[in-house]
Amino acid sequence: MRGLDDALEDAVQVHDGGLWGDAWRRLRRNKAAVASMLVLATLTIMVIIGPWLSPYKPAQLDWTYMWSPPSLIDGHLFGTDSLGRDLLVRTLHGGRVSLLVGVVSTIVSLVIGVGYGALAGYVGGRVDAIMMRVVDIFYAMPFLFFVILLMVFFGRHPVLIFVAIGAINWLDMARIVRGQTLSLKHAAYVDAARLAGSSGARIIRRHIVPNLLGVIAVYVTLTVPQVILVESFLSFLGLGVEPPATSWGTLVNEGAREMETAPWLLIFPATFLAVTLFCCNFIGDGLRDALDPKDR
Amino acid sequence: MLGYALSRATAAIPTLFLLVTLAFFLIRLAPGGPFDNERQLSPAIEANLQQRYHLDEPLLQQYGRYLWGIARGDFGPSFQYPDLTVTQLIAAGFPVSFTLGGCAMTLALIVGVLLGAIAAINQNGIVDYGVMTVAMLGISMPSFVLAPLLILWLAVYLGWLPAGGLESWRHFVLPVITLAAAQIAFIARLTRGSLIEVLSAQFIRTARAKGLPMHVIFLRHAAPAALAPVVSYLGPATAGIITGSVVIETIFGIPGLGRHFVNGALNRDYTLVLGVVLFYGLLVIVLNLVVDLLYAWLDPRVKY
Amino acid sequence: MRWTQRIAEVNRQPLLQVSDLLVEYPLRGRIRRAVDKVSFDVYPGQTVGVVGESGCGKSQTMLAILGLLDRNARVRGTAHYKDHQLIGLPARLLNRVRGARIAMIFQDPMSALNPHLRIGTQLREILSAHTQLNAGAARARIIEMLTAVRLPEPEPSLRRFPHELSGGQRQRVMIAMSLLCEPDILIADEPTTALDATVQADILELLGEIMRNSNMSLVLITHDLGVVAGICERVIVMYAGRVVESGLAETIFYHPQHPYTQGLLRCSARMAWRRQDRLPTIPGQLPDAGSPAAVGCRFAPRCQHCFDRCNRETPELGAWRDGHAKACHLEQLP
Repeated sequence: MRGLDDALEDAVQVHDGGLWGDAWRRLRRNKAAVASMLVLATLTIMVIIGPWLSPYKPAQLDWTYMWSPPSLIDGHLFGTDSLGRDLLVRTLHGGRVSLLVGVVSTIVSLVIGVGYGALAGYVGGRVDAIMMRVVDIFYAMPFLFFVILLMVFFGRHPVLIFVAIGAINWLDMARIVRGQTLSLKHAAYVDAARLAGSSGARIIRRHIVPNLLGVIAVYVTLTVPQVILVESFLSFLGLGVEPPATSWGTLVNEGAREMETAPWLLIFPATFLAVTLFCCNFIGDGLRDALDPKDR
Repeated sequence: MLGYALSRATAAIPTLFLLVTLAFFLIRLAPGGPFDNERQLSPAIEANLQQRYHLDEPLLQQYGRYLWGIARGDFGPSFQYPDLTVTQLIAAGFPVSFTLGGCAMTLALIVGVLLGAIAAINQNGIVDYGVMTVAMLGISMPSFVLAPLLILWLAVYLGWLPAGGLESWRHFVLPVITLAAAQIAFIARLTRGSLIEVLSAQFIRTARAKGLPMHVIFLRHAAPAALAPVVSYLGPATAGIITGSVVIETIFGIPGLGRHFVNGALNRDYTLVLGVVLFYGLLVIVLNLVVDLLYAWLDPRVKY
Repeated sequence: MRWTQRIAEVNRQPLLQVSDLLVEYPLRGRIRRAVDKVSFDVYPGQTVGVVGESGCGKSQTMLAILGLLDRNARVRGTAHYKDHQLIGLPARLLNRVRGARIAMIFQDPMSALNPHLRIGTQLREILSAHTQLNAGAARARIIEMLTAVRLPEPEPSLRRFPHELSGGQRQRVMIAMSLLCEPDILIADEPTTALDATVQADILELLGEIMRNSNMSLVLITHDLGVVAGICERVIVMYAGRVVESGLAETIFYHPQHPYTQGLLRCSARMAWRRQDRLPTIPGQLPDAGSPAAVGCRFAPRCQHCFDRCNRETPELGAWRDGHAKACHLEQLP
């Protein structure tokens, strides 16, 4: 419950671009986050452009070069697998799938979370209480099991994969959006009662919305790695995207099976995966610190 | 306290109900299941299912039978192994998974809290940054990446520990460590944040002003307050361990519930998969109840 | 008037002697000085009020003396208590003084007490730390003290948690807790600010009664002059980390010598100096503590009597007369 004076004080402190400017400056000072952003950007570019630059195709078999370790001479920079497929181009292709799933599923997650939370906050009352109770119950459930359940029952359509993975992580977002919606309702009352003219509404919109965007930004950067992780889990278990499409999880699975004889098959995709997750987490953490310094 | 426990227990019942009902209808909706007339199943399974599910009876009666079966612990026959019931498979696999998960959870709690405490006490020092970076690694590194790497290093190259199977206690070491890794990281971060907040609280300053020795302040004042968030994290932590066990058991070839689940998933053994999910769902609900009670005991401000 | 009886402090030894106390915080390359060369004495059995607006350093001073500041605080200067120099004393030795010889109570009793522990436990532990009393004797002593501070139902309260008591009751518990080991000095940091007005009066009366019945000294930190007028014999006025005036309460109230003190008195709505239509204020704001060592009087920008010398030379706390000191270049306040 925010007091009247709090609400008014907030309304008065309108930053012109100040909120984002401050946050950006603080983020820039976080060296780990900056390095992560650079690495991630580089990775994304490699993944998008790389396959076009490579002379090999991911499904291209090369019987002369099976099981060959990475070398600069024969052009297979990352080596090849049991069927002579170039690992580098496969890794990059896998990256496309993994990153795509990351983005799309996060958006799905966002939509579900925001929708659910906004609805709960807007309607309020008992419906809200029940909806939040459901969230509480789901919070400790191993969601992955349900996803696998769905995969088993309904097949491995890519759309289903995106949606199912996205449905894993909407709980936090729902809670936060609901909280913000509630306070928005409250502030709107204050607005109608106290402030004259439309300036009040604009002030509140200029303050609540940037707040919400900040939270969304943090949430997105922290969800993407989780989603990628889930997708690679599924792929690793053989339940993800169907071949010939490949993702980092599938590559790690294949690599793990051959790791005693051809460790490079494991190490390269694993490194890409781990580095991506690492960077995303650092950026997410850094963003969270930048937007709310008192958390540290 | 008892009243609180009862009220929380009764609140859990609708959830269970929902879960079971969903499961019931899911089985019937699944394409390629026994209730789908297009799919051809082996006659052995077909007969088994006909017998179990009394498919000629009205739907509501089937639902009733299903509920009654669940209440008695009968999850139906397995599709993969026509002679075995799901219940038997679960009973075989669960003790193994429980041992694995229990050890991992214990390890995660002990190591995680210790690391978090060390980081908090040395806040913003080298030790703090070091611990937190390692924690970040733990969170970012998927268990199925860590596991093969550890196997490669400790089992293949160094030969210290076995790579798979479950004959001796040695076989437990790598799986438990790998399973616990991610949770250690989460718990360490949680403990650190919580402890830092508690150490700057007013009542700690009062304790110092009273001239109390450091260890008393730490153990009696700081610890219970700082550990409260860790206790409420136990629910999601267990969910994480259960999830992780699926992969770990597959990689290390451990005959636990997780591996049964994966095999069931790959072989479209609907009843098994469903049975496992229901079983774990039940487990998680019970565990959450316990955690709620534990938290209420820890924090006297919780009203019950 | 009771305070006139204590004027002859010249012949007694001060219990606590603080000299040139300095508290600094390094902040992003700059140094923020919270307490700037503060000196004062506390005599046995005396009630001293430390007055000033929020942020003037009054709490920081007392916390520094007891070593209760954050780790990044830099403290210099001396604080002599009996034979010990408290500043920089290792924790092991400091713990023998804290709670037992010099006690401190804080502003908000709800956050100052541990919400997870019962009242009885929190009271008992201070006795365990400093005395050899056995369980029975300790319990008797605690109940005796709780009765003395007029806490209703002292025995059942022992098993209760802080959130089960009212604000006033919690503060009584805090006071009782601080008195259990019979300290020589009790420092009370805004003990009534977080309480309702009626409860405030009760607590102050309690403190007054305690002072009358013992030889303990009380250092009362507050921003409320009304509180000071009630029970303090001496008053120290602080502004921006410095002591600007100190003396007997009577003198400070009726013959203030520093423009800031005068302004404070005028602002206090309870002191109806003159009937005016608007509540008087001191124009301007506290100076930014991040720019210390600036020469000149800190109050100059807001002072209506400020003249040339005020900006050139920092006024030192100099004796005026009869134990009254001020830090001002003015010879006499009009």
